[in-house]
Amino acid sequence: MGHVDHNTAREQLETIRTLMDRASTYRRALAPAMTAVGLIGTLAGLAAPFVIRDNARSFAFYWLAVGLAGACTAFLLMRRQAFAAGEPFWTPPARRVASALMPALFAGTAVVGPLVNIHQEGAMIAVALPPLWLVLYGCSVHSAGFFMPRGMRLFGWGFVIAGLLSALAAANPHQIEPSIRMAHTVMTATFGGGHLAYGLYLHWTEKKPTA
Amino acid sequence: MNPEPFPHLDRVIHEKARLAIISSLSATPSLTYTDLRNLLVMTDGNLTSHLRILQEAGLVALSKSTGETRPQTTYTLTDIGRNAFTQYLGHLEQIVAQFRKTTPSA
Repeated sequence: MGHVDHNTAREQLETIRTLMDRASTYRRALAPAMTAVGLIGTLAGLAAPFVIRDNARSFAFYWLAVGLAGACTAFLLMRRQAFAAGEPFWTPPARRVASALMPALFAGTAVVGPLVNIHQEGAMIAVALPPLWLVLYGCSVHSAGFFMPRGMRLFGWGFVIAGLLSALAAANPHQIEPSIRMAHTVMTATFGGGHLAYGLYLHWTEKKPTA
Repeated sequence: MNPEPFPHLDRVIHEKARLAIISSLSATPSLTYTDLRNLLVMTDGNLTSHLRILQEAGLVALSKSTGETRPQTTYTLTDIGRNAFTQYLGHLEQIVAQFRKTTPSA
């Protein structure tokens, strides 16, 4: 036991820290939930021009409803996964992920009412909402990523960058005509396509649960 | 260097695989057998034998439950285990600190 030098001690401490971090992360398979959310977003985006009126209010509440449907589906899939493994769903890591997600998601939802009331019919609000939602959602996912596998933080960054790029595009009306159709396209490509792509990537790469 | 802290390192915890188990359990209220096996990438035989040693030393407790689909074995760190782990960490930090004190440029 007298052979423990400072290098070994330091390495042991680093290993312990890594193991503790890994043990406290949320480890449910994310591929099914991501794919389901992506499918909901993509189908909703494709259907949007045919099922809702062409104004900011309809746009905002339609996508809020789609977001809620996506969140409920993800919740149910994760819960089913936990029960299938005979484990509790509401574990401390799950609680940490939920509380990290909440503030930015709440802000993204709460901002809709005031923004839409300012200018109910204008396309500008519908064009401004996707960048705002993307950045807030990206921040939310990035925060939760501290308690999830590492790729989630990158996924969050992807949304933040997509949000900033779409804001730049929307701020340059000489190149792209601001319209609600364009806003639907941004939502479909990012919330739908982004989740779908990440879900499919996870299907290939995520370690299959052995439980 | 003063070798004083070294003999205090807990022999049960100091083994690599057992230290990994204790570290993982210290970060969360409990872990299932499957969680531990997946986290630490250990074989069933290896994990079971180390868990048994930790249990016999009173550092880890297990509880068995019958979930909706299959029986589940869950492991938690006991109070003795948590104290032993805290002490072990303290000793490691002491070794590192002692080295820093004797070699300020490190």
